[in-house]
Amino acid sequence: MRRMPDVLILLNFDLGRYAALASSLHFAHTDLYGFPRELFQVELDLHLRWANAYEADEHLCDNWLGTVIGRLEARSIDYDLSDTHLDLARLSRYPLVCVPTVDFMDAADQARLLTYAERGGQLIIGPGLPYLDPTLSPCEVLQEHISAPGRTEVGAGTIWWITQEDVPATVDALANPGEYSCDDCQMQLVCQTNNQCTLLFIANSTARQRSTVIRFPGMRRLRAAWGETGMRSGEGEIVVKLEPYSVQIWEVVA
Amino acid sequence: MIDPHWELVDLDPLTWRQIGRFFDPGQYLRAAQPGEHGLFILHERGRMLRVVDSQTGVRRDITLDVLDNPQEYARLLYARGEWQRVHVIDKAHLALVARVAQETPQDDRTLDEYYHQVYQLLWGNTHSYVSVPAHPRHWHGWTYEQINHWLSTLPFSPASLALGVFGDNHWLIGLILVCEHGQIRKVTTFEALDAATLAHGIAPETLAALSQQLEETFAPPVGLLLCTQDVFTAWLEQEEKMPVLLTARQQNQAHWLSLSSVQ
Repeated sequence: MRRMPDVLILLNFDLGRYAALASSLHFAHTDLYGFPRELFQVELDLHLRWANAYEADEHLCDNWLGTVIGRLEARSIDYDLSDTHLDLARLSRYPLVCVPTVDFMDAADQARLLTYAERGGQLIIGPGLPYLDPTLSPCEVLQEHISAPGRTEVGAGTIWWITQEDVPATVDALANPGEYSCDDCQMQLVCQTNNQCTLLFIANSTARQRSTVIRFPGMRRLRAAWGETGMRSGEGEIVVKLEPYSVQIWEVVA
Repeated sequence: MIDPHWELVDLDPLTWRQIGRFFDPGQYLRAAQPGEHGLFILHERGRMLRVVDSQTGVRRDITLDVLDNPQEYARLLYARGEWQRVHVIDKAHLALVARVAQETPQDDRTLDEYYHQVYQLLWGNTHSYVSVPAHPRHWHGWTYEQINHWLSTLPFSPASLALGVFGDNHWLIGLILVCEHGQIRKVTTFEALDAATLAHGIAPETLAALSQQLEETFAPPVGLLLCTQDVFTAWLEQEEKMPVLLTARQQNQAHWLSLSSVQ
């Protein structure tokens, strides 16, 4: 069985390079010394419109990227993670692609994302719209097609340029939530399926025992596929209990 | 981070959950402690670059044209009583530490040897990274040299070590190490043992059964410790280790076997 999520998140390669550029401590081991984050930062005044250093931090849960990831996980929607250099053939496997964007992005990457959307893809970008390339020279590949925030039809697909505040509603509208969800946002539920088999993976990555309700339409029977033995069944919902830092795998048998 | 020189036979999730935190090498290097209110001054050979208060952020009010005596400056700032620790760090020193540690790939070097070199480079020059109060040069009383010496002078090779930390009904850590020639070579857990071995929990009977199992299955045991989680935490964190264990044994909260002199 192979995972085939419908959603792809691309880390912005140029934003990562900006973060390195804007750090004064890009040496090995400096992340081990317990220094505050601000000590690493160089205050660059490049007259950019968006908070690039903030958006570049892949560990934050309250920037644009973190909000997208948080929303997908809260809705038990599986996703893949790559970066903006991903080729068009692999991009095209995903109905929905989300990319954090700021003032600048490589022209070839912009063109590839545009082509992806023109061929029918749903592309969510934000909080910024690139108008520069990584050398900060004008580069308006996406901007030529997008005049304002919101929805823009391009070819057979759509580009959604949205603010962080609009992320939850847009993700909810575009990402297929799948048949299964769980009530506890601290638990991660992933459904993997092919023609023969459907497996539910549920993980408790916290230090406490947790119970949650797995929700689905109709009647379901689940058989433990790993470790434990046993069956569960329910109409619309089944309660599961997980020990700290543990994973359960359930096969949907009916 | 797990040493590639180890043969990792098994690591049950329960044990991993408890010991994962020990694999963060930064805790054995840094002077800054979690939650500590610190002042960090970054300079480059005396030219001030940035000053950051760990609670309030960038401090532009603390500045000098030339920082010619980092130790004295750190001492004066610490004396103001605003911070629990003052760090004065030469950026050029951090660059040098990184370059020297990584300039010659040495695949035969273990991870602990590598990070010990980083530690020595970082703290070897007392003027390049000044910490007031100073780095204690040990981790809760443990030092690399002490542990390395203990491992290299075990009475047998191979030899086995075991640590059992027990909760209410089950072990929280059940770790078995096999050492050869002063190095940990194999890592596995109590899941490799007969279930009956641990039936008595923290007790001399368990110590005897465990010792026999290790001898038969892995290598002659040279150090076994069975204790509660509270005792384990106290043993780790208090600089005087033996009083913790002696008190715990009187309360039947720890039992151990040691054929080597350092505990």
